[in-house]
Amino acid sequence: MSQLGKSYEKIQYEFRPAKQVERRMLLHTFQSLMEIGFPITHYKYTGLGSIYFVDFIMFHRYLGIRKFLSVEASTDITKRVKFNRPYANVEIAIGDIAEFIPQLSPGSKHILWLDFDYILTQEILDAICLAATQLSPGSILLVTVDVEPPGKPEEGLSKWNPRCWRRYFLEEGEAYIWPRTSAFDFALSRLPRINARLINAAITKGIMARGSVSFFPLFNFIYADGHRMLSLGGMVVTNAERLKLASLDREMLFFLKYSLTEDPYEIVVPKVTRKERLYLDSLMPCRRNRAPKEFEFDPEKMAAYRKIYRYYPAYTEILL
Amino acid sequence: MKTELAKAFPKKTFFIQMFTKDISLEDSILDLIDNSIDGLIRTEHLSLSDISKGIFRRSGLSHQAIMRLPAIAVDYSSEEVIIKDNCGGIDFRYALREAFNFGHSANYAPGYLGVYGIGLKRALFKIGNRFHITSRTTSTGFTCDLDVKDWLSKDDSLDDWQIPLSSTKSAESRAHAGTTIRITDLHDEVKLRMKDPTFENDLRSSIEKTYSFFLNEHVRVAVNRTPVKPYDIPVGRPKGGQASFEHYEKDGVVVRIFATVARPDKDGHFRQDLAGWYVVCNGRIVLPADKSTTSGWNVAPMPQFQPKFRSFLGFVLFESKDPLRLPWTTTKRDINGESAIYLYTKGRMATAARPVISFCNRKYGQGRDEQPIEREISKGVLSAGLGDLTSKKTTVFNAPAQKEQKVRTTTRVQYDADNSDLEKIRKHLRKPRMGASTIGQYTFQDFLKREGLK
Repeated sequence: MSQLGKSYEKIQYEFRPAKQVERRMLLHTFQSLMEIGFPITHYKYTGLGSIYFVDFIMFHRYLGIRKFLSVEASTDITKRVKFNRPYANVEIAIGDIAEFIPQLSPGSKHILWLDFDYILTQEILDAICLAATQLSPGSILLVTVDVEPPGKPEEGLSKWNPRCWRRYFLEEGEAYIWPRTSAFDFALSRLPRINARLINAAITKGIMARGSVSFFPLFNFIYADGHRMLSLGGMVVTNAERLKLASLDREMLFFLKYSLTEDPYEIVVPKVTRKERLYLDSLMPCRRNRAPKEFEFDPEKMAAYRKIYRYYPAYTEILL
Repeated sequence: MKTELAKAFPKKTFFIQMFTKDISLEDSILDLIDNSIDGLIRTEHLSLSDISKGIFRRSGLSHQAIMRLPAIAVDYSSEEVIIKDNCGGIDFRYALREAFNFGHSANYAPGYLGVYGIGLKRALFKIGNRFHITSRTTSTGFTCDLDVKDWLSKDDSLDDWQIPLSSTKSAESRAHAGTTIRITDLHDEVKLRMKDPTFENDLRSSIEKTYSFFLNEHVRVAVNRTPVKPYDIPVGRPKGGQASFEHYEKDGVVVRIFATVARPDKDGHFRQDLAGWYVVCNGRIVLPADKSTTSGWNVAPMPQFQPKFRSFLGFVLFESKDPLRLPWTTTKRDINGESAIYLYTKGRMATAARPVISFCNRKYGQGRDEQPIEREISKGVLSAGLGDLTSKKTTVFNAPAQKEQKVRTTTRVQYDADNSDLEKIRKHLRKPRMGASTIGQYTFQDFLKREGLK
């Protein structure tokens, strides 16, 4: 977590339903990877745990991962981060994530989640490139970035338009961007793809000289609990891992994508009441988008619900 | 249909003109020194591990031991260039069969520095129109006297490409075995360079950088009778920490990568001209203190080299019994950037360098006064040799925070503002005596509050 973002001050991390759906989908995928022979339990998880450590808790509880490293960039909250460490086996490091990536031992397997809460910067791209250079085959690399446009609409359209956004990405992504771009490519609706292409370029740049090692895309999520966020990821593979991955149950893991730059899988979380949810769940699994007769719920919402109901978090108030 | 054969023979003039164009005079002389050192490797049966020992040894040889080393003397004037060594000489049979070929034959047993089999010839043709070679081993000897213009004028068949050698007596002892090359009738552009008073310094600097790991370890070199001292690369390591080190073998090439902080000079300063990557192939420094894209600076994920990285020191040592596998160009003074082993290694270099870069970034921060920081860093560095930085396992650079060092979490922000704007703010806040820096702080804090950042 960088000082740039500080979303930990604004958002109660546990209560981001789309983010939580994403975490659960990742969890489901990791469990499936275990079934086909990837010893995820013995992987080391490195993430940007901030002060909430939600992913760390889930991965320890449900995957049995025992080696953790959480990197925090902000020196303002060092004590707070250490105080909130959920388990004794979560190592805390304060500094720039790029400083710690070279320490991810090539002799071990890793899950590295570069879970940023701000827009793409050169530092993020460099960290991704470094990770693609460093991670051993079988390791998983995940990147999350905010794909809202740079700047703020309050600055006025003269400073907040595709031309300005293009300038931003050309500057930040100078080492990764392709030639002949126009402002049209940086239109609001195209920004997720621009982000994806830059991240893909950073991975490719990092991995291309590794001979038989390549990157196998698995995750390409877009969601919004407020800001639009893009999560891309996959596995660093040799032929051996590639062959194993062929047996992954793609029907069950319907949200997986095999390209980082194609249309992402959109995580849509319809808002439902507790009572509605219990009712809808009683209809699941269902093959068709059967709309309930008991209340108004349009087929689009039903389609979205059908996909995410297994991953949908339940929130309730508890008095501690 | 009758098939006839078209001539596709090399022409001497074209060949000589073409292949001497892309090499500098300094590099040609370095090729002649390579030739002497390869003679030494052949005669002394030196192995790559012997050469590596020199690289990793921290304290050099004693003066007496240095004086016992074989010597290479480079002497020049505007009339002639002479390279004389007692490195063991070139065997007569080897000279007849191999040494004068343009390129190696298929069953050639490679030396460690001679790669393509063109260096010696290219240097001779580059420098002058006439050369005389005398070489003696302990068992054979030969001389060669060639007038290049005469040799070029006869070019009717491949037989005309042969170079006459005359057998002479062998050396009386190992100490006298060696080669002397005297090149005369120098080309006009060579004469011009030789007359240039700065040429000797350029040549000396090239020799001391290129052969830093050979000089006074395996061989002595003197230019115009003044010894060349090895380039002192100020290797350091963080006090209480460690350097980055990685070691692997790929495609028949052993690669060792080191990234660390430099040893400061006696005033606590780091010399920017010595900072950067040193790329070494079989002990020969191909790129010294490189800060360009060739060694990965300003190529993702490495930043552009900036003065704040002047304490950075990186080494990549490539070693192979087959020098063709090494990522150097034919001049051996540059890197073949497309080489697969180099492309792979460049990624590993970035990984090794990253923690050192982050260390420098963290220390210097943004917009801070650099001198006290440089002194602070230099206090945390110990002098080291590359041998001290090696380890059985891969290590990642880390420098523990010094107790007396406090991490500064603030940065001074300065900017110019129109006086009329400052006056407007004073009036607006009804504080006519409000100072400019207070206005700066007030407006800064106001922005943070309004944007919900604080």
